[in-house]
Amino acid sequence: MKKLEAIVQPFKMEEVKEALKAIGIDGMTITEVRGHGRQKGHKEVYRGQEYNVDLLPKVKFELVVADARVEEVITALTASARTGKIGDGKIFVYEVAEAIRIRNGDRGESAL
Amino acid sequence: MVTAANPRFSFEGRTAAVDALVISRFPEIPGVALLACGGYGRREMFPYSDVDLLILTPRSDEDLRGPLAGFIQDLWDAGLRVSQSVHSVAQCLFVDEHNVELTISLLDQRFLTGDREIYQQLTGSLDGFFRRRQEEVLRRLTRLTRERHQRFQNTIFHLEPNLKDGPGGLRDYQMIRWFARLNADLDSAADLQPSAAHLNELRWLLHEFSGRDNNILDFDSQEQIASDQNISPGDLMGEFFRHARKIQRAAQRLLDAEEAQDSALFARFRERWNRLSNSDFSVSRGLVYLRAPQHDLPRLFEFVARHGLRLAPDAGRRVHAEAPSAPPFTWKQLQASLSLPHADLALREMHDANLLTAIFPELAAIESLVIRDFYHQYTVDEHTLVAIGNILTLREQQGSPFAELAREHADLSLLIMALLFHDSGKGDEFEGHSESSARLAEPALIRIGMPAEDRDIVLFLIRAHLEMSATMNSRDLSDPITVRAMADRAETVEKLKLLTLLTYADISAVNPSAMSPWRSSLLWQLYSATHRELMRELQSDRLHTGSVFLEGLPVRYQRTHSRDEIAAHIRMAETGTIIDLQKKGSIYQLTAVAPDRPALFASIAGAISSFGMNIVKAEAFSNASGTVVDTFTFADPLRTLELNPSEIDVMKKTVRRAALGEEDVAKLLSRRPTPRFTSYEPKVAFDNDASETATLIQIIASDRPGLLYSVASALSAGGCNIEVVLVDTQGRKAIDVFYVTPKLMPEAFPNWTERLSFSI
Repeated sequence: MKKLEAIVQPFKMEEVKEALKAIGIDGMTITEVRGHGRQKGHKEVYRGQEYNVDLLPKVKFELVVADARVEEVITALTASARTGKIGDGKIFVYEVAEAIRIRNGDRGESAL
Repeated sequence: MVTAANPRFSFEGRTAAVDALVISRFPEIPGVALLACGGYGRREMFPYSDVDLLILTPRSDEDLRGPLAGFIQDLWDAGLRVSQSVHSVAQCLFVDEHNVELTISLLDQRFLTGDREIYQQLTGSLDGFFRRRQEEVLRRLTRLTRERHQRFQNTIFHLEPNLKDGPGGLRDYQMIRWFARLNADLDSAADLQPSAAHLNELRWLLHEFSGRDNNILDFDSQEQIASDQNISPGDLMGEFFRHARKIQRAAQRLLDAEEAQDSALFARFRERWNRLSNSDFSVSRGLVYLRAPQHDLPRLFEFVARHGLRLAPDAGRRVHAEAPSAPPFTWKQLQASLSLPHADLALREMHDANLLTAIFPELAAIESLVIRDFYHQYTVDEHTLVAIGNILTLREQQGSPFAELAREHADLSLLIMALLFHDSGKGDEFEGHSESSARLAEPALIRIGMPAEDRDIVLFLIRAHLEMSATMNSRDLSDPITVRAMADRAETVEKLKLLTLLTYADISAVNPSAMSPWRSSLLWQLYSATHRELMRELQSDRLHTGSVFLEGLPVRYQRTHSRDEIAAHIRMAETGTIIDLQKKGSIYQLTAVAPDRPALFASIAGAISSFGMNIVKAEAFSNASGTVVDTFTFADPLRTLELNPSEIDVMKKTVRRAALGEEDVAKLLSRRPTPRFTSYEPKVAFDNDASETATLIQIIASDRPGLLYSVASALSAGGCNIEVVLVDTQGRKAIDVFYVTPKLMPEAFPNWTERLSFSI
């Protein structure tokens, strides 16, 4: 099992969700997050006042999938989240040691 | 109306049954008495409600523990949810900061069984105790109530309200009864009895439906209870809100009056109130009273909006009685209130007295209207009032760029009108309500006599009120096409700013956490990108229409002038009229159509100022053939033109000579008193990226007479051609935008900053 964490542009949220649904991924956690990557933050001056705009709004998708499906999910994520511009985001893949369904104690991939 | 069997009977029945059970199980312990308190003490037992017991003992020793534990156990086994406390008489007659609830619960106590002597010890002292400690108990009760209201954001209009603890709920009704008991002179509870009975019935049904002590009337239970009564959930909630509002209004007044009296600053307050009182209204204990039998409603609400004081109950009742036959407000009267700091309170009081729907029957359909979705927490009318409140409190905040934007507007009355109507169309049509809201608003705005220019802004805001949030949620904000589309929709910087503020207020009023930092940074990103785009096109996007006059004017010119105005300008150019002066309401507008020449703009600005006029807005554009169209909007603070009509002609002639370079403007201005120095540090910013050919200079400074002349002549004297000017004064702050050619070198910026700051 792998956990995928994808940071994407806010306006891509619906598209990514639909793309995941289309390949049969229904379980996911979506969070509104703020952060910055390599570009770092900068200060924006508006009418003489300085404002920090170092944290840009993004959307984070978290999902856990069976090993066999990882590549397929990554393809769906990149295809739906890509605009080709800086700021499109990243995908991180983690090893998952165990998954347990609280309701009935199911374990492993059958708990997903 | 809920039509369950009268719960009074059920209350009595349930209470009697519980009494019988509790009394039969109570072990006889010498010197110990058993009391009922809380809802049980009041004989208001709901299904699954707690049974509040007070065990009164002469001593707090261990040997009571055994028999009492058995007794409580018995009651639990019999299916009662018992919540008991054990106290001595002395403990009961002590106001404990950490247990004010005990003191308050004694207001509802009654004897069940046990030792009568110890009970009489308590009751013998209780009246005196409450008399002596009345003030303290009231103060603590007020604070507890405020804290409780705070948990519900101080509003009753939740889509899933709490019948017991929410504002306007049964706890508030109890609070009013406790106040009445503690202040023997006060009896505000009697009027509210029917409303409390209605809430009691609903709570009874809710407990039965939920099978537990649940007080939140959620969507499921609304549907269930409404269908049992053969009414729609909307009607069920409408009825609930009408009753809860009555209770909430009474509670609110009681708390306000109590806090005003309690405050250590009472004396200072009283002095201020005495000063505020006039021949029509008086202020006492922080509430407004009507003095004369005849009164002027628009002035009353202007008073509320200015001072932030609520109407006294009697005044509220009188306004309520007069509302149906009240003469309609004019825009001028309404604007007088809406431009003041507490406009939201004035609207709330008008809403409470049914005056708002009397003036605008168009708003009746959203009164207490519940629209179910996952985000909105309030009814539509409450959402509207919360949004209006948000925009006014935003102005007081620090460190938020939106607050800065709000402060740029001295008068938010048009924005408030747009907010008032922005969801009015939700009453009859749920999808695409922007258009139906605008359709409802238009005749209303015409009826109150709002000028066409203002009306256009309000209707634009209503129609466009969802577009910024839609764009920021679903479009790439770094894509120039997105930004261009938003700029086309907003058309001008002024409208963009108002739309941004409206969007901010609207989202913030959905629920308390809706305007997260995440969402606010998206909105700001969209605003600043669109702002940049509108600034850029000011210089770069020109008209190419074929007409000689229009050729080369910025697109903004066409967006900000009506067809008739444009035709008038063309006539001026053809006939060489040069100067036109019109009175528009309380302000004047001067238009100059003249061949361009150095320092033209500065000369005209200076000539206008030399008559003591206050320039609030100015625009300067030039077309391809070197004809300049300058528009100056100014106020006449000394009423020179009004009192001396002949001055109008003198002024027109002087400005004409100045425009043609036949007048020494510096000399004209030397007749005016020298302006005093202002404390606001001027800010000058340069931007060479906004246009290929020109430098954009933005100046923010404290406004003063002749400011525009000083700045414009400093630019002209330095060899700059002023291509485009956009000046706006809001309150004491002037925001000037100049596009100058040729482009300034970045190395020269510091030098220019110094020169311009000096001129300011």
